Amino acid sequence: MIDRKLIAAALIPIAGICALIARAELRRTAGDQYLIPIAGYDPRDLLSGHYLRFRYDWEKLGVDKDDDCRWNHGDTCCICLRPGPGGDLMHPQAESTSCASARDCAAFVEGNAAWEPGRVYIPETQGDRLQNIVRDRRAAVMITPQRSGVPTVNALYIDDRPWQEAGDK
Amino acid sequence: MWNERRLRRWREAGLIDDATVARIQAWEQQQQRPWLLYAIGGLGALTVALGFLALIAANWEAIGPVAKLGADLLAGGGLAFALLRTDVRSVENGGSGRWLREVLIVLLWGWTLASIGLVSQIYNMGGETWQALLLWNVLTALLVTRGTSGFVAALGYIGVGWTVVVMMMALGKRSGHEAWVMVPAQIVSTALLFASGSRRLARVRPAFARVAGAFGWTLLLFTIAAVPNAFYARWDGQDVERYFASIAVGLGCTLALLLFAPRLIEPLVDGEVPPRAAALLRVLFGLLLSVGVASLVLPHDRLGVVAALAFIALWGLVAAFAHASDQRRLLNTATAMIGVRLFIVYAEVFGSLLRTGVGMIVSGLIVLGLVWLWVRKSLRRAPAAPTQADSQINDDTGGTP
Repeated sequence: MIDRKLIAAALIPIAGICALIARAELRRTAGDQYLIPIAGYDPRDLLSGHYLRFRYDWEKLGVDKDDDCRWNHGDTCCICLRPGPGGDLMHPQAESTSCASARDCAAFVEGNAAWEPGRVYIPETQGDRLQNIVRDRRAAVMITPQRSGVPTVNALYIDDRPWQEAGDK
Repeated sequence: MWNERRLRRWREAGLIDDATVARIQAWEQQQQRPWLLYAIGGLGALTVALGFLALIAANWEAIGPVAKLGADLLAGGGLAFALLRTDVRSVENGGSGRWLREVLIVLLWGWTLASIGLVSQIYNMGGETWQALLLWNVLTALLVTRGTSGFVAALGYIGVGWTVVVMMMALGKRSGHEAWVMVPAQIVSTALLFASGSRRLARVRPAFARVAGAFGWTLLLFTIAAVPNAFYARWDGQDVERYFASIAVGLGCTLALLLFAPRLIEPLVDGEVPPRAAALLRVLFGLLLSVGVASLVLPHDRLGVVAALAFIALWGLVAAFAHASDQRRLLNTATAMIGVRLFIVYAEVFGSLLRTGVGMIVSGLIVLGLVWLWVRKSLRRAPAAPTQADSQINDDTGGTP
């Protein structure tokens, strides 16, 4: 006779991991995926461990760097995302605005997530190569904006293609 | 081995006979556990679990995410199945093979953390490290409590302690108060000490209670060694404000230990808790509380002499408590700590060599005097123990010699 508590004890971790996978998968497919350009968080320390640190380069999507949204709204300055011409999600348009207004947009990224550095995991053996590529070419991340305003980062892109397909030049 | 030595001494003193010796030895043989098997098996399981983590950290891109997740879930399912099957077989075989059950618990515990890391990596999940660790502890809490060995207990406590430390560090960074970094040791040691004194835990999971006591007392002794050193720093109101959270938690934990001191001694002694030991432990916690308040709450200049005296006083109480509760190893440790601190006092040279020398001679003579008084008092109190010859005379004549 198997101890019922032991059965539960053995199954709870597996159920928990399955739930974690399901939640992550739901978040990834919750909405449209947008391609957002990125820049190095710190040119001297672009790579930390086995993940790439980056910051979103909203200026490349049309956000005015002299915009006083952050000055006026602080942490409640969000990024409003709209598809590009013809519904192009690979080249969206962005605008900084108050979070209250941003919630009416097609998608938005909330203050902390928009302006704080993000990270994307990369293989251990690709660190040096990717560091150079991200610095020298057009790097971006594919994100799925969420209703909470904290996007899911899906993948690293180089020159509009997944990094695995990017050559060395 | 020490059992054999004691049995031989008791036999030679005529306290027990050969038949009793044989019965005790037979019983001890039955109680023996395969410690070596547990130790090696446990180390092997831990190494495999750490290997899982390293594989995940490498983020091996040659395997696609679906394959990685599939293989991972298959491994987890396999471990769970093996655990349940081993448990059934162990029960059928009258308890043999329990070591394998413990090993599988460790493997499944390690697998869970590795899997959380794998999912985080594949889906680029954000969040902080403490959140992943907290999830790991929640998912494996019931699993760890199914273990019965000290090794599983130790790993479980280390997992929880690690999570608390990382949480407090994150809290400190977020609030801008590095004070929170000092909190984990106090909360963790207090919780472990209370766990060790829990009668229910001792009944249901004796290995867990024992390991909790070992960790808890070790952390407490570190605290006793560390707190007096705060007198070496110049302390003002700003420092008190900066570290207030940590100080408050520490003092609160010490107060809680003071109130429940006798319960903490129960696992250390056979039978009733000696009242003297309970009183000494209360005095120790009271002095620790006082030294903590004086060094961390009240502003002060650098007071090396006070630091040394406080240290020696605290460890003197530890030694007294150890003697009252018959904890020989603790007594030796406390004596060694006092000895080391006296050497440091000599090296510190308070004021001048002359002053230091005179101070140490006077202190040493006081200690020797106390020891002499104590020995005289003990000799006067203890009745003469009857020897075997005396017993023989009593049997023959029916009277005392």
